[in-house]
Amino acid sequence: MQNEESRGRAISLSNVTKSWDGTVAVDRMNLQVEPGSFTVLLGPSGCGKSTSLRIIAGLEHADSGDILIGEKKVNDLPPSKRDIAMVFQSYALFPHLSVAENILFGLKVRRTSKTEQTKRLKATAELLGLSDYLARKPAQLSGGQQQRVALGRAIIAEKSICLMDEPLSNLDAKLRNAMRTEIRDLQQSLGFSMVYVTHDQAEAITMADQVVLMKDGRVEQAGTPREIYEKPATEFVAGFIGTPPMNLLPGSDLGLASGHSNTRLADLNFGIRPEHVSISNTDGIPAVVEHIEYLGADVLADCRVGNAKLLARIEGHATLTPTSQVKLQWPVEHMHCFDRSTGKLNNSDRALLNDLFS
Amino acid sequence: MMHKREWIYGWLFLSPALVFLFTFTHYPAVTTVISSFFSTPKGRRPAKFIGLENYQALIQDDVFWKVLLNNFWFALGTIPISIGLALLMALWVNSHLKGKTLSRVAFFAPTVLPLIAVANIWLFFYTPGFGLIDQFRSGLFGLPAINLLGNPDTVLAAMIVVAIWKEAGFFMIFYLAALQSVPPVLKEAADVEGASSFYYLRKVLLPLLMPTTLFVSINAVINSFRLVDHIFVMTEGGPDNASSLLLYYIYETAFKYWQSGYAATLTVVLLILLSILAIGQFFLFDRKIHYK
Repeated sequence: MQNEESRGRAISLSNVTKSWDGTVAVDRMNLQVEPGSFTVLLGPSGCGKSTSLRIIAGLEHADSGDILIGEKKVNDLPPSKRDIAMVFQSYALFPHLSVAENILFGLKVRRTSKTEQTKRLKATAELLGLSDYLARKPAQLSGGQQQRVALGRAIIAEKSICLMDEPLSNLDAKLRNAMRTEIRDLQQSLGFSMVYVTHDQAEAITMADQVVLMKDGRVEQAGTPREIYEKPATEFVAGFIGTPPMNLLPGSDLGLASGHSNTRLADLNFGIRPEHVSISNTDGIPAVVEHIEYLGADVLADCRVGNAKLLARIEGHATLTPTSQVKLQWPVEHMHCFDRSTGKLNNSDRALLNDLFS
Repeated sequence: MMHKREWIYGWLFLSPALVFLFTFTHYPAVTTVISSFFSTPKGRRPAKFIGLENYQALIQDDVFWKVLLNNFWFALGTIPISIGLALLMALWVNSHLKGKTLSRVAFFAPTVLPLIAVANIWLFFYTPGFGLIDQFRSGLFGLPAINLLGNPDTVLAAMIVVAIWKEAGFFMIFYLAALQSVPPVLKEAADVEGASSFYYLRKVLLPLLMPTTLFVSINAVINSFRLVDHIFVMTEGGPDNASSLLLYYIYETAFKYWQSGYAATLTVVLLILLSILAIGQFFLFDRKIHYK
């Protein structure tokens, strides 16, 4: 099914806004999707990720801004003219049609020749392992199989773009992990551009070439999973990505606990990931362990530093008990410094960190 | 032991409904069949067994055949049009148009009205000379007055229009409920694949509405034999039995002419007819219907 050249096409949103009755769902959104890449729109519910996807699909009309697919402005084109396929959260299978008819729905609408239909159906069914189920109705399939039928309907027409709206959220955890890999492999081998919406950061991190983290209708940060994880651009990103997410400590608490005072500290928040925190016998920041969660390989320790809470992921053999006094330390290079008022990354004040921790 | 007790419980739970069903449906039906083989009791002369005499009379009864034919045309006129209109209205009020609440109410209003009241309204519409239809005819086109109910050629059509007006809104509610249970995402999936609205209607919506269509069409068939209230008010079957239907003829035979034996015979015909139609519809449709 694979074409010689990469089939994917680029998508670009510039300043796209959409609101309903005064509620802004998408607010001046900008997005670039490279041809043939896998982009995940990630964010909490209500952040506008699904709306953005539906705007790309043409199921919603943007109030303002431009939507480009390839080189072409598609603002006023209906979904069928945008060369897209879509997989819906509920799969949207036609309950009265068989698996084969569901997969072929689009080809039948476009009156593709019977021989072409048969050929493509065979290839798609084989690819997705649906060959034995073609005569069944969707209700006679398991959730995972229904998901495959929806995938089949999306890929059979070999569109250059595939849009998926939380396609795995109705599956159980085990199947979800398997389908994750499968969808990623499918996208790689067929070479279409993918825009994938999810609220599950594990899906985003494992599948994406580009993660676009959204909040309140705006893009907080767009980058590779590694960039998003290692270089969060805002406090929101830092607090959203990672399980457990990054600790955010007010500068004043940290200063107090480490015995430093600097007027700038009150304007800053410091971020440190739980896995970078370690317990030291000699020196470090004094803390009180409040709660222990044993995870096997390691231990999650809820600590109190001054008035602030800090979560540390420590190797499992450490013998910690609640109320024990410990000293915590972490490498300065793993710390992040955010402006307290804007929540944005602040690298100009990083120098302060060296004062604090040397 | 356990098994037997459950069996008793089952019948106990069923019994209240069964008592009523037997008293008011099955027992009368059986006695009707029996009565159809007896003569009509008169004064001191009790009913006596006369075999198939009533049925012979039936075959030779011109009015019976005329009424049956009337009923056939009445059914043929009301059923497809009222169902089609109901579907159209449901699609209309289910769409995202302004004023859809108002149109829902407007379409449903005739259903809420008793048929007697509907008949009175239409009696006014049809009144020759100053009725609504003649007002339009003379006011707009200068046409002479027309007596739709007094003419044997038009009276049945006029009755059909009243029945459609009354029924379509009722059927619309069923279609509307069915339409609202169809997830909107199916339409979006069809849109993404480039299916036109008509294609979507034909290949997705109508098949999904088939269980409703079966239900509605059985109701429509039954109603086309059952609804005769408007005939009482508007025409009393006339002129020359041109608007009389089977059930109305049964009423006349039983309670105007007091020929209860012959009325029972006519009723048996009605029962058989309705059973055949209902069973036929189930078998005809069942293979093509997708049930959720």
